[in-house]
Amino acid sequence: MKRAPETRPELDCQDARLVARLAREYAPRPLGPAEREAFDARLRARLERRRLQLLVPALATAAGAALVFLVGRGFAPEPQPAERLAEARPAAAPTPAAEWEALLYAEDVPLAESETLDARALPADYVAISSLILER
Amino acid sequence: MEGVAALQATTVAGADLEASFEDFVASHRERARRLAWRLVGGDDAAAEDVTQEALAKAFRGLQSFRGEASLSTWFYRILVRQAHSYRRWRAVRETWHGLWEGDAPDPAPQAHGDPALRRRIARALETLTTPQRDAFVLVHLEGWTVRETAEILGKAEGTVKSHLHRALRSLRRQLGDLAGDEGDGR
Repeated sequence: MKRAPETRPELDCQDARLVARLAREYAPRPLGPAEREAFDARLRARLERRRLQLLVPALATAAGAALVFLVGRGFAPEPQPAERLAEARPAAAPTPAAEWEALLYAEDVPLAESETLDARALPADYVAISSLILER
Repeated sequence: MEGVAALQATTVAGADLEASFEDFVASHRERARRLAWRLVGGDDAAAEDVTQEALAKAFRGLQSFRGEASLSTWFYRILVRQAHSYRRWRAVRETWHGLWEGDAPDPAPQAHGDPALRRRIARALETLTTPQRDAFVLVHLEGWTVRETAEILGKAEGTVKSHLHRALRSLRRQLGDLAGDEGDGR
């Protein structure tokens, strides 16, 4: 299949002159050899900067992840068995109230003689109430 | 141009890629810079920045270049988009400068030729729409065919021809005197 010829707009003589004039007058000064070298050097520097710019986010992400990992390890409590936690906890000094409380709730502690006698001296309803509380 | 052909191959990689890219830059540096210069309104520094940024983007994208379009068409498409991006950014900057600092200085005071004529042509090109200016610069000033221009701009050939017609009509109205003697427009 024959390829269609490349299309170029046809201009009349006047337009062709105008276009030629514009093309000639409206153009930059061509670069000299030294300017071409400088152009290429600036282009290489730009490409190098771009490489670094692409590297920086990757490095920053890696560094950030490492920092988060290290900080997380440094501040988080070390996992310990419950027994070791209990051992590590200092024993609280027994207070008089606590001793009484322990006595009251201990199952095998019988009522004292005096308490029994006192209970007998109390009215019947008081004894009933106390037996509810004290006797188990 | 061997490097350019090597770049077109899909197996180029690593050091070979860099060497081929250098050849590509050497082959297209001047043409790319001239196109950028014309698209950004005759600003030397902006033209270099646009050209280098387009080359840098092309270098990064070379690994994924599939060869569906020609390499130069692909690269100049990047360049034209980069020039658009620059122009948008400059429009914002000029609005800001206009609010606070008055008129911006001539962007290319050291360029060759007649500065007044260059500014006049630049102003006339600025009155065109972006697609009209792109089409006019690519076809009439840079010598691309309508088909190549359509590929670069991602438009239909008929659309490009329509833009060219309107652009030429507008420029004929503004700069028609330049079609006469050399000294008419100065």
